[in-house]
Amino acid sequence: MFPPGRKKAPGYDGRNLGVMAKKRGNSKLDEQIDDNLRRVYSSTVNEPLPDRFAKLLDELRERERGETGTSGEEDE
Amino acid sequence: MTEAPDPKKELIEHLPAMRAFAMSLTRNSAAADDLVQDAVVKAWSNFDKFEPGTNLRAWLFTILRNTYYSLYRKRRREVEDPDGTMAGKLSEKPAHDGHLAMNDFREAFAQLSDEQREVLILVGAEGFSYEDAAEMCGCAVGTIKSRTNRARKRLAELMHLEDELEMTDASTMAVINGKPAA
Repeated sequence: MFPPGRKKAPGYDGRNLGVMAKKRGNSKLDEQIDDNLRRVYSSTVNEPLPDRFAKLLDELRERERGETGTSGEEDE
Repeated sequence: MTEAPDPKKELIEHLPAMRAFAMSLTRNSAAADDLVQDAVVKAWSNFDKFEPGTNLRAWLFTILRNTYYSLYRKRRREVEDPDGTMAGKLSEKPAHDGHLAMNDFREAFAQLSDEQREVLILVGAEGFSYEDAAEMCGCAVGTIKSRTNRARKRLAELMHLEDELEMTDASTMAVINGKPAA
């Protein structure tokens, strides 16, 4: 994927190694940052879901059955 | 044509990601779970407004972030990461395989603004398109792009990465110079 929002400098000829190194260095840096973001993020995503959420969903379904018992939305 | 899946049944599959997103916004595990709970209750009562076939996760994330900004951001001054969730939860040794030390990374990430953390999670970690992220955050695509760039740059600054990479990244230099790494 292209690093977002980065434009080639005017007159860029692809042979300016100094500029190129800087660009490559930065996009490598972006990759590294995203890689670490995903690692931090997925460490939470992979945590077991606390019980409270299963209970919450049960409660919400219960409440709905109580409120809209005749709506026919639930077809059990 | 098969019927669109019931978002109420699918909701549970998105809860782990909602928790992770909430954690990166609140930087506090107790507040994050409360935030997810509030967002789930809100989503539940608004499922009639969800358009079947559209991105459920994006819809849920939008509700979650709106809940955060309307309810939780104000409270944050009172509870400033008391359990050090983002900063020090996992203590890892510095890795030498191109990964940054996780602790340093978490600390630097926690110092970013709400908007910067949010956009990095949406675009960088979740992989939403700039367009989706813009819709979720209620701003222009260009704003999301520049915010993402600034957030990455700020992270790199906080971790003193720019100098380090330029000095030590021999394999990148080798690619650029067309020579094998020493």
